[in-house]
Amino acid sequence: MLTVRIIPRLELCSDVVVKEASNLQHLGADELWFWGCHSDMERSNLKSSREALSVPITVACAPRIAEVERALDAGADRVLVPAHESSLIENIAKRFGECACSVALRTEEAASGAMRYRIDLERGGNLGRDPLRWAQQAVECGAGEVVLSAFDKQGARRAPGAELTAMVSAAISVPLVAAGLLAESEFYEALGAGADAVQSDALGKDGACSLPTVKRNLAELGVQVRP
Amino acid sequence: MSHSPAPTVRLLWADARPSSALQACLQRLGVPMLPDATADEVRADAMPLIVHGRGTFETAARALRDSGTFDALRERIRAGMPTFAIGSAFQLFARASEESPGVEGLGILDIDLQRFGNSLPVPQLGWNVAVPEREATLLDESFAYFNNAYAMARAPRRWAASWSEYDGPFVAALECGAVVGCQFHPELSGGPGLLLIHNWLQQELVAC
Repeated sequence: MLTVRIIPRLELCSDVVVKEASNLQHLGADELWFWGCHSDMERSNLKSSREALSVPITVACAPRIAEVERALDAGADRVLVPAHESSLIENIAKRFGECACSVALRTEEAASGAMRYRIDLERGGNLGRDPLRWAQQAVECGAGEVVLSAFDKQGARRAPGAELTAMVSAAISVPLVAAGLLAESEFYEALGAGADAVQSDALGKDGACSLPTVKRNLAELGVQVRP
Repeated sequence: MSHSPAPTVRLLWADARPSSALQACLQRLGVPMLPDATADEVRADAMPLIVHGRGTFETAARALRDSGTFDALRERIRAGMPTFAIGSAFQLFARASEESPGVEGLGILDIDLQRFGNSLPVPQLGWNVAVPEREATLLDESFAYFNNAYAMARAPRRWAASWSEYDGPFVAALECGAVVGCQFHPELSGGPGLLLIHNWLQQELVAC
């Protein structure tokens, strides 16, 4: 039986990213996500991490095929691109397979309280469209995984919540990752709502959650985890 | 793992690009590597060969055809020469795949690959348990990392299978003498993946 995945995230600009990644693998990380693969130094850190790790690596990429290729060449097993980049998603799926393509479904809470797809954090813009439709379109284009994250009305990151997680899970045929979780209780909520994996920055060195403790607690609740 | 000197392996990419994860894995095992095996080397060289693919059935077949190694690999495997195929390179053992209609596999196995059913998310992404049959000697029961949407639902005769469950049983790995095929990715499967490759290489040392 497939286990749920517990996924920490690290920044490639850090001087100690390879050491931290190795430590997280040792503690039971089921895969590792890396952010910020832009400069030569960051790509070098990705290569060094690849050499040190024997678990899968996902890298958040700038939405251009050349950047995707560079990330895969530097050691990524999968790339994460925005869910609205339909032609890029098609291109990745065709050339590297659906398993190589995860899409980021960033959502934000509108003034009305409804969740809408968020395209540009810095400028606060959005495509004014139901996130479920973007998720479904991305899957139709060949995405192999959807990564759901959420922001509140003030632009602060928050957990996607059970309702949205369940809606997206029901709307797509591919695995769903609930991302940006901040506390252990949010892991249980997301997995209970249909997420296949959870991602959290709180699992890192200075984070609030301990990977072994999270896995032990999930196992005690009957959730299938990799020891 | 023992520390017997590892034999040199040849690498063949059924893919547009080399797998740095596999190279790192072999480096960790202290295995010398010779990349980009030629058709003649694939066909006739007794040195262990690892062929790796992570794209689609079609891209794997095309990569081998483009490098001129497609027919040579079929001959090699049929001759039972030491070969370890991973991911979509393993899938090419089949005749065909629902993923790429009209694309011919190596046809080593009288089997077609089918997409997983709709009851679970597809592709399968993550860690699943691989359980070897009694006749499978290289793999212990362990968690392995899978990323596949297509799989073999039955095992061929004369091959020792390891099995996993995802919307029903499917073949996680096959062994037949010196030939091994893995649906999962040992290079991404932590210690158990390293151990599987190590065991295969040690078997080759004994055989030599």
